[in-house]
Amino acid sequence: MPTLLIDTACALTPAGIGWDVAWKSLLQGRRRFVSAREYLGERLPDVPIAVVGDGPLRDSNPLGLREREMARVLGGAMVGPLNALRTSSPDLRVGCVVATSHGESGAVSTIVDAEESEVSHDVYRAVLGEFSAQTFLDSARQVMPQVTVAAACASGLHGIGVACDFIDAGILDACVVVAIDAISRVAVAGFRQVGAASRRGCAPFDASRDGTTVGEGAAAVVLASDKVARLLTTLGGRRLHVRSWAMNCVARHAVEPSSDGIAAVIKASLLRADTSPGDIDAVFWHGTGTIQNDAAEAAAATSTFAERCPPGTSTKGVFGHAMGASGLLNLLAAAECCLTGLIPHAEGMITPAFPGLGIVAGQPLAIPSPRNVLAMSLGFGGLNSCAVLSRGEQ
Amino acid sequence: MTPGRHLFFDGSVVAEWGGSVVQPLLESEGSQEFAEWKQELRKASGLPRSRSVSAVACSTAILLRRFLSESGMTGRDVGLIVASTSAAVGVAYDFERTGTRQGWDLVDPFALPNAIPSAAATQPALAAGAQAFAFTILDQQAGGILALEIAAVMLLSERAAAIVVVCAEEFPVVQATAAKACDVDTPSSAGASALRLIRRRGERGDTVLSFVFRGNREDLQSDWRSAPLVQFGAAELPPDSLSALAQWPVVVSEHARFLFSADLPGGDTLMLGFEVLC
Repeated sequence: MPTLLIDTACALTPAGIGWDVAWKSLLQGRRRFVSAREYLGERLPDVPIAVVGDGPLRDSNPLGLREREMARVLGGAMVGPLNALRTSSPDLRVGCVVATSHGESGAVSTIVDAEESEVSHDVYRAVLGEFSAQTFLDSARQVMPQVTVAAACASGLHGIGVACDFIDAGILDACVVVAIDAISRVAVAGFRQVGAASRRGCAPFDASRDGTTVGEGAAAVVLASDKVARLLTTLGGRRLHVRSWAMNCVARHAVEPSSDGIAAVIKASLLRADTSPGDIDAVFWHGTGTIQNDAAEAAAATSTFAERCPPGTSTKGVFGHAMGASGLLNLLAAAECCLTGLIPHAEGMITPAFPGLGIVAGQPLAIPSPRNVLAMSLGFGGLNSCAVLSRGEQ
Repeated sequence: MTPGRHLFFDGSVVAEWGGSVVQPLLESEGSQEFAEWKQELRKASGLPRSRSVSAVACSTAILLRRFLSESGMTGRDVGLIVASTSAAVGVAYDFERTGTRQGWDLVDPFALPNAIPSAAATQPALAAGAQAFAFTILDQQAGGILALEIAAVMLLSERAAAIVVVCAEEFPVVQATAAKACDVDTPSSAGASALRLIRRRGERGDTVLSFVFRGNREDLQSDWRSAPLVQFGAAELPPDSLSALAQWPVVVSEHARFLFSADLPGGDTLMLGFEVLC
């Protein structure tokens, strides 16, 4: 059962740079969406998007190698935690799992927009498959084996799962998981084309919801085996067990989730955690704000929890839909909830579409001593992921 | 020096060749089989009007369906991992090029689910009913062997009864342009090859996965040090992973034991040891 070292977490989100800032924004319901047309150009649909517009990414070209730039900034922020990890025990076998939905989309955009002679070799290399993992590690001043996992918008939790399996198998002692996706023309236009983009900003689980707000984000966190985590005294004292993780690929449609598939992945995760629905104290749903997603999750919740659905929320009303990073952001928020007993409200939800679902409205809800918190992540193609976080021994 | 790590399988994971599909280059995908598979993938994903199905997804679907047909397994406990760095690039390029030049009303409305790399796995999985999991690995030359390592670890975690690992590349025009600009060789192959890892006790004549090893080459157990080696990552372009996996039929017919190998960043070597039971 790997340990999540939450004090190592770093995040770049539209609601703030740094995981502590992002978490405070969630509790305050502070979001900042901008116009896609104003940010990315006249040739795009005019829908709200969520971008990391401040701080070190302020001058980054949104249609260039932006994911790489995000990886560079995130890597720089992880120098301290990763150095502390390395120096705590030089014999540790450490790896890096990078999770992304789109990869470096900006490389294709650059080639589409430019004449051949204007394209840099960095862009061409990205088109040939050089993704951001190496940039992250270079910036973090680390050399370690890496693997890049693509599982659509479920990538972040899939990345956590792959890392957990590597640690449980004894191949790695510790693993830094990086989830990252930059805003892109393909994402903005594509979500609009499949009818999944909100015109007014996403309102997860609201009766009048009209779609999601496509966004970007990046996060990184360190996982370690339980035995090794006990040795890592310099990496902060706030820890949780990733008690289980499960995934599946169940759908009848490439862009519409299946409630059966979602219920099955929750059931599998509970089974692996050797726990029951009644032991779950809060749920961080995928909660994109599309008609289909939220309805499918509500149906799966009814199937799983019956009349006793624990309090739930969505982080996307604040963060937007950070695509491949969203699953890790959800997990980090679930971890904070487990540690602090606070579950943020679903920003944007005014009139609950599913009153029995227990979605927290208006302001954060205090949960006395939560034991287990569940985090969900779904992706195109029927991808469903679920993790159970547990306080365990502190 | 960090000690090496072995993960032993004790004859409990059987490795089977899953076949190859050659010549599905996006520009010349004229075969009837591909046309039929494109249609099937569209239907299975609920997107009959979609025009954007990658050649990688088609060839992967052929190999996955072949496994399910030959094994008699239902897809419920079958997982799929695709190693590919070209699966979504061609679709994404066409989508953006059409949208920015001719307007978004003219693009395939369902291009997005096919313009992300995971579609190379999820579309075939949906079509064939492989439900355990489906995702894509993007690690260029080392992608194939990393996919096999992950599959082995996931079998150990009992996340599937069988996993089909496919190395697949299509090398669309935009990648060919990039290769030329970077002055690197055009790939020698495109298409897909598959290896199946099945969680069952190996019997005489079966090829089994003996171990996964990460560490320094010198730490490899002594009786395996002289085994023949299939190296992943020898070439500069993504299809190298595909080429390495495609050597399986020859290697397994000539050697009782052999190694798949790749040098990882940080000085580690990743090795997968296979042997034929006699």
